[in-house]
Amino acid sequence: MAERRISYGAAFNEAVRQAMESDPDVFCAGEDIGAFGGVFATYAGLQAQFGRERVVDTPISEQAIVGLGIGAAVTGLRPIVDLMFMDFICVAMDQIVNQAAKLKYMFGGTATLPLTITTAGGAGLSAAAQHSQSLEAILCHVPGLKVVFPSNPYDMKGLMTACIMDDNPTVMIKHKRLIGMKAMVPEEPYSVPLGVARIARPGSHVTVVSYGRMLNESLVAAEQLATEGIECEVIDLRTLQPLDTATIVESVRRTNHAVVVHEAVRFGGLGAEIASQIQEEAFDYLDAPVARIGAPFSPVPFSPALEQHYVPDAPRIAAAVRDVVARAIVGARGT
Amino acid sequence: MSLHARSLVLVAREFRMPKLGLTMEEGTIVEWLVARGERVEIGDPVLSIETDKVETEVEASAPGWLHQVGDVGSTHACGSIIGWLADSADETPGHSGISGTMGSAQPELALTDTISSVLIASTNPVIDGGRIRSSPNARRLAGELRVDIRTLTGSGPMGRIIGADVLEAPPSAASSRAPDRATPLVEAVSARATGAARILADLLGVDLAHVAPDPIEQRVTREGVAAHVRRLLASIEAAPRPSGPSDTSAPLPPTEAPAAVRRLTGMRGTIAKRMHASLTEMAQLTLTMHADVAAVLAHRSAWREREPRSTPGITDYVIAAVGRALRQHPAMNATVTQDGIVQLADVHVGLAVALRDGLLVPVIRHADRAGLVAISAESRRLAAAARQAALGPDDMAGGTFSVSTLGAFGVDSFTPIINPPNVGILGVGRVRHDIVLDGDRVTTAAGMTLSLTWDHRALDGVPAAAFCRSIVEGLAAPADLVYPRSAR
Repeated sequence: MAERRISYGAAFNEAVRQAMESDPDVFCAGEDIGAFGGVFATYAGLQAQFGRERVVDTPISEQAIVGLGIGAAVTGLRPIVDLMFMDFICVAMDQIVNQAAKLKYMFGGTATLPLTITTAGGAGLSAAAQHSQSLEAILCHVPGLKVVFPSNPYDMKGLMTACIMDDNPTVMIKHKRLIGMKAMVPEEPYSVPLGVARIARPGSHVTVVSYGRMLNESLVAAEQLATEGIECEVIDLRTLQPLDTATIVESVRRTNHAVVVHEAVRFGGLGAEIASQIQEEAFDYLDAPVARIGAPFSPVPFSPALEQHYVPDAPRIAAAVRDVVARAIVGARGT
Repeated sequence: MSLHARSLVLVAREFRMPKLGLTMEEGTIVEWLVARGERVEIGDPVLSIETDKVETEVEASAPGWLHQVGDVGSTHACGSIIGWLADSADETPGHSGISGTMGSAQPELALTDTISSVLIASTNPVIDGGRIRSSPNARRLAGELRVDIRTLTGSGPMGRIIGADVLEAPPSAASSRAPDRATPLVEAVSARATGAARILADLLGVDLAHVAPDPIEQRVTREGVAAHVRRLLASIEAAPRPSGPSDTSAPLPPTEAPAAVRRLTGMRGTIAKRMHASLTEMAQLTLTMHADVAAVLAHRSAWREREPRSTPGITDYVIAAVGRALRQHPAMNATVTQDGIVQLADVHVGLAVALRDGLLVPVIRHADRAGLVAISAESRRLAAAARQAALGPDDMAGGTFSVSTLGAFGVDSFTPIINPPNVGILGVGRVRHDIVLDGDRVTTAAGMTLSLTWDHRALDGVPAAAFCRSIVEGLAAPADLVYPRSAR
């Protein structure tokens, strides 16, 4: 299998390109994805290759963009529609929640919606409170949507391919700060199955569950903790909905400790759901309450200094892991 | 006083007499290794104590300035306060109002509850209300490894006992690991239950070990505890008052919306208990064998023509044949005791008599040597007495083998259950008239199926078959059954 080092953004682009080459029903639509190639260049070169009919520059109307995708999908095409920033899903919420997620159900299963919504989430570019959010928990709360959030170029290409091929509405969240991340990616098309997590680093002392950019921060933390004798098992969820609970639970039953890390605010975040599932299915295996690391309950600050403080990082993750696995030195233990 | 107590919460932690093993009840202070008012760090040896087994040093579980409460030579119960670790050297006894509280006879009465809640790593993880702070994982492991969790010291957050503490249990706690030393305590700790179930069980005083775990969750749930209590209440209400619920085996939970409920009391209860015990305690198996009864039928019809009132029943012929076969095969006329297989001197055959509401097994004595006339008369008397509830204790006692007949109800063969303490029972099927090939000639034959259940602990298949064969042979020669045999 021929591999080369390409970026997270290029891996996304390649997945779209290969899908369009192999399936004439696949087309893209979104703001500035044609001539401009998308604000993060993730659609770069596609309009030149496939023409304006298949890579459509749309007006600034997220409702219309998603609605276009739903209509095209339900009438037989396989659209990819882009919402420039994840914050803008809020504008298109009626189309996403009440139409895309519901149509198959409302039509008794006879409607098929092979729609992929792509968007860019997360902070780290000092893009301020309306262009930096992590709203994945809102999407995961809606039955009828599949939500993926890759942490690296390999998963990006495979998950994007799987999203395009899936006959149900999917949401692909790209993390802005990972666009330039490079890694070895196969040239030929492949897909990473939806709904299957990956053990990114095996370990025996504590299970760290994360995804997206925070997965990489968790790996850095795990590297540091290993030098202190704490072996973290880091799980990359890859797909947030449906959640791969089995992999998490199996790991926690071995390590007896769990820490969930995400960039979204803690309150009502995916960490709450994961912690709940862990206590439901691995309660008798826990040595400590499940810890959650997320952003403070506040809008993302514009100031680079404040933003850096706001977003969780490896030292903060490491500190939380130490608290969970820490053991007091106890006097008078036995004779 | 309460204000002083509150301020103390922030400045001192209690220092307790540790519990160093399962059997340690108290310890005697041999020597304080740190002077009053000196600073100690976690892990520093603070004092030396003597237990009934050993002399050992006790380390500090928290940093602070030591204030001694117990005197050298004094003995203290495990868990009682023998000193304080204060956050400053200033608040020494005798130098402030607070110290007056600490120096009084029972400072812990006012302070323990509040102080315990701020403990970070106590030497004793017991917290308010006597609950032991332990992680779910620790409780699961303690149950699996049979470690007494109360002997452990918690090293986790808030002094919680965690799984590693169980795995690293010191020898004193591990002594209870021996599987043959299971204690009720260990069972209680090991019961897997949800938090809600524990709270409800605590509230109602229910022992979780008695509650069946949820088959899906594989641990006791709140609903399980509630169902357990409902069942207990129902059984109390339904039980006959003092005149006695029987000693029947534990009742099964009622099925949903029963059409009728019949309690396992009286004769029904005795049958349930004895039959269940029979199947659980013995190694029972059943063989069936064809018996030609043409001779018996011919013998019987001749008898009827001659003496209709005393004509024996088919079962009487079988009992006579069984009695004689038992004499030939003493291994079947036996009982299994703790000492071994005991062969019985006399042969007494029990006869299962069906009643409207159950079953009795009166006994025909010396069936090996009684003649058909006596057997017939006795079986008639016993059956009538059984149906009139007029059987005496002697009529029921001492059977060494049993015969049960369902032939009158169209049954060919079945698997009778041994009536303890016997080691065998014979089931008698209906009389059938079959078309058979005799050489090259088609003819009819009268036969029945005998179903012999025996206890494989007492004898094996070949002797059991030989015994059954003897019965078949006895039925083939009914004239030999008529006359009594002399006792040997």
